[in-house]
Amino acid sequence: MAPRPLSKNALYTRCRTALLPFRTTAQLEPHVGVLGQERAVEALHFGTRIRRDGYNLFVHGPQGTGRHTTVREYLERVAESQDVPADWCIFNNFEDAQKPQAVELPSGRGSKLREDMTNLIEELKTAIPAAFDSEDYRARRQAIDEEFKEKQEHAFEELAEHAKKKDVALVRTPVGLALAPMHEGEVIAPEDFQRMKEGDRQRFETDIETLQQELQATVRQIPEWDKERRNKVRDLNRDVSAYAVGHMIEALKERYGEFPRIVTYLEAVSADITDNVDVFLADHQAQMQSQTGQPGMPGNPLPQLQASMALRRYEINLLVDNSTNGGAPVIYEDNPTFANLIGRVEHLAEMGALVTDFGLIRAGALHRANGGYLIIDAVKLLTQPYAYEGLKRALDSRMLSIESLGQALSLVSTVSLEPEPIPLDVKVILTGEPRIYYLLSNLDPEFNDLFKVSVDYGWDMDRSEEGTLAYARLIAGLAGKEKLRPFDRRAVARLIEHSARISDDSEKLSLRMGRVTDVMREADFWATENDRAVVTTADVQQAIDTRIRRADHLRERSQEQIARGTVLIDTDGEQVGQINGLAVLSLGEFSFGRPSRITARVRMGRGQVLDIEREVELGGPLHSKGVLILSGFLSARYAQDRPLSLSSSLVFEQSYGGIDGDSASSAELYALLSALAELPLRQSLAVTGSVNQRGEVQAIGGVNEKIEGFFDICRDRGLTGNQGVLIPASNVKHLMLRQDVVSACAAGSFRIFPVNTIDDGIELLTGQRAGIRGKSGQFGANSVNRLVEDRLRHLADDLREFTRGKRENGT
Amino acid sequence: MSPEQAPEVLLPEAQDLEVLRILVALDATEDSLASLDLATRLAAKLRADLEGLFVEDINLLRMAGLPCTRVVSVTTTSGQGLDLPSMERELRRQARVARDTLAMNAERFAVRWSFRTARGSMAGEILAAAADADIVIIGKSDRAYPQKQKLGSTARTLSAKSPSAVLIAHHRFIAAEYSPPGAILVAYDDTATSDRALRLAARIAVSERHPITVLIPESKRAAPRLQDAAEALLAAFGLQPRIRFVSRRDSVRLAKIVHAEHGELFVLGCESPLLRGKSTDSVVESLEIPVLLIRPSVPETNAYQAESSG
Repeated sequence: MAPRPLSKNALYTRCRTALLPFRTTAQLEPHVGVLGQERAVEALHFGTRIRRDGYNLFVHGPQGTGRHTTVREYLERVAESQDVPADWCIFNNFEDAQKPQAVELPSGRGSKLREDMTNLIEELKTAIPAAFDSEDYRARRQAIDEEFKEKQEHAFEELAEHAKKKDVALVRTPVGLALAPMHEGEVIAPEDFQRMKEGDRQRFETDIETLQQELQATVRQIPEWDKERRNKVRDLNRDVSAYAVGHMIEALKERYGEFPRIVTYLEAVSADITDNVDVFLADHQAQMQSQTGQPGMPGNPLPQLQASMALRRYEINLLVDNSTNGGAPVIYEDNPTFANLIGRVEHLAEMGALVTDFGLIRAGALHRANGGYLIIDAVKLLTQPYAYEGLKRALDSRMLSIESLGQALSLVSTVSLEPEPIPLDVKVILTGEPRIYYLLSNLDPEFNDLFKVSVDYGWDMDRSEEGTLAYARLIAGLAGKEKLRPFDRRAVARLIEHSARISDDSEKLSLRMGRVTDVMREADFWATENDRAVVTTADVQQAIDTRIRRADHLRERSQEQIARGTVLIDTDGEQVGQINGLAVLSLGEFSFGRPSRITARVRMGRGQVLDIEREVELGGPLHSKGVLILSGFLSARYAQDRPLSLSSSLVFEQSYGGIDGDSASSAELYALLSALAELPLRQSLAVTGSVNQRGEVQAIGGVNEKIEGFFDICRDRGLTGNQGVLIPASNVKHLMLRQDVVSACAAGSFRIFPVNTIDDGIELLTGQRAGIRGKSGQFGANSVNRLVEDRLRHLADDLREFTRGKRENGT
Repeated sequence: MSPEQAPEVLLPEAQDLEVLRILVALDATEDSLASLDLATRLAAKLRADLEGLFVEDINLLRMAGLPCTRVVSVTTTSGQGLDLPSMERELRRQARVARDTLAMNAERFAVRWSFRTARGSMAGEILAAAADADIVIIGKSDRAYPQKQKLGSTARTLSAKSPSAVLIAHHRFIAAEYSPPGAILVAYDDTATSDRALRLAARIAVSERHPITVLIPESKRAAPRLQDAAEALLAAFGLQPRIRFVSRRDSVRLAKIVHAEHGELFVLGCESPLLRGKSTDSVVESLEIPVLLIRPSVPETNAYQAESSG
């Protein structure tokens, strides 16, 4: 017996307002936390508490389920009660500047140390020049210089006196110290010298030669004296600077006495300042020039720049500052490049060259999240070159080594900084769609060792009474969070119904809250436009309708092509081997159904069902599978004792864009049976559903869109009451149809038939009994199955005859 | 001027203060380079033209022409002979360096400049050129050994015979580079040159906000009046001087005062009572900072010619 059309109630499951005990969401206690994701929450709870290697998390679920937001909120709640991790400071290594040191300090002490060092340098900028400008220093320095000068001058004076006795002058010339004959205090003119007696000239030459040797001996002593002078000056400078620096450094050492590495560092600072006191003096001089308006070198800030650059080595680079954190850090890295994760060493352009130092080392997200949690979008991570590899290496080694990508890949070997590695203790939470998780899990052997906790977000929840109320509270929470107007009870009910429609299931509610929230925001907008203080069901409906309106341009064009007869779709009459199949087109979040004419032709052959879509490579594998199942069905039902001597062809007419899925396989079978039985099919009906080899009609997706797609065509042409759609009975629970469809069905002008088997469907489509095999083994007379079987038998006989004839004819 | 009379305060832009031309004598000595730096700064402060004079010392050329002259390099200690072409080439090179340094300094301080080379005796050429200059700047030391006397023979000649003011420069003590701008020290008394000295010192101090210290000879009678006069004159420049009273005799004490006042330049009239009883040279020698000697005005055409003819 043919199935009966579905009642109005089966077509749309309303949300009973009795389940919603409030007037508006303002009266409703908002839902806090995650709804309908118990499994995911349990996994999160476990994953964040277990402190073992490799127990990082991968949170996966469909887009729009709020997995990122909820995970972040959850982690922030958890992190609040956890210890604030240490600060990390990078400072200059005075023994090897290429290898800056990393030291941890309790939270807040890092910034204090930086401040202390900045203050120290500022104070020394004044104290050191003051010490060197003191009367005492000047006198001692002058004494050293004078001593050297006197020693040198004395030697030359002695020599000059000695030379003078021999009438030889000692004179400084541009090319050195010259010895020349003189007379009465003046150098002898060359012509006078020539006029002198040979003996006198000879004497001068001998004396000058002797004096030259003495002079050379004296000059040779100068470097030694100068070295002695420099040593004395250096010792003096050290004494003076040590006095200026000493008590300040001692105060800091006392303050940081509990941190041995800081104490060692401060001692190194003290020694370095003592050895490089000129830097402070140069800085002071440059400042004095700028303050007093001395011309100095106008437009040339280089000396001051160089001095301040040199002083940078005493600063602290506070790599990680946790002083403002209330608990463990929760960091979301939006741009997870290799450098943004691992940290980087920046460079400054100086005189055309790139230079760097420890102060230009920058923390990565792993540094900032150390001791807490780091959330990264898996797709973003995987699309950044070597970022995933860098992350895995850090997690695996539990150490953070800052290096450039070039260094990491051994592409560059220029000298650069090698900061001391920092121990890493972080929970990394990757978020992404399930396919990414499963791909990584299958293809990357290290992944499962490093991301052992799978946090699986579902996409829907049960639409139970409790679930409905909880969902209403979630809506109330979202309205509050988004600062929307309150939603009245009916508006909430409509949102819940829309949620069920989004989930393609009248018994489920969608947890893709992104789409629901968008509708809420737009409903709030329309409420504002409509001058309402509370969002009503009309506003929600307007939001849904306008969203569809904005997206359905292609649907309109598609329907227009059918209405104008460009695309051939019959909605009345009967045709042999022709049926209305239904397809779904997805345009992002918007999907719509579109009828397609499917035709079948049969002739004698060798059991082939030719799928034309597949032949021209417009059909996908699932569609091909569906068509091949038809052969199985035909053979099993009609040709068990003879060959299936059939050659048939199936085609989606006017389909040019490719097709996949097996949801049209039942329609194709009906068309094939019609062609075989030569029985016409009602064109007022459209069909969806897949079929198995036993002839059972199976559930398909997009049932609501498909029904609505055919309904829209029929409505445009005028509803006759004979029109309708055959759907798999197992899809009835998924029905959440548009109100106009429901109303037409209620009025009897459109019908939805739930079909369990091919026999159910063929009876509706042909108006004839499908027929069952009687005791004789034959289907009932005039039944569809009998006609099909007879046709197949005839085809087999014809084929046999044809084959025999050919053999006899020798062809 | 009687002690009771208040001094006549001339306006800062009085004609006799105009310094139109500064001559700087250049060779390659350390003091000469210090002279150039000082000269450029002074020209900028006084908005004067700067003329560089490089003298190819005739004594050096003579030495180069002697076959027995030997030269010892201070850096390599090697000894070698000297020939005239090499010396001339070296002097030309030094002149080029001096010119370039002068040009660079002058451009940095936006000073109008010129440069020339002369051949002859150092003192003679500079004195000749000094006739057209308002201030002559020379280095304190010279080339010849022995240098028991810190003031070179050229500086001595200039300080004695120059028709214009003479500034004797001296490369400064290194630690002073880190100090703020030093004070301009000026000796003020009843002489005509001291009045000019005070006005010139005021103009220099005003240009870069140097502190100014006025040294007044100790005298119960005249000192208060001189103090009033100095303060009144400097007030016209917007300056508040520091006043120090100095013994007329003690040049050693003068050196200590200059040092204690962090002096950067000492402006001194040649007729100053502070010089009485001792030579100008000994006073200049005792000071570690540049000294600007204000010579008495010579109404005649050329002081050097006057000296020469006399």
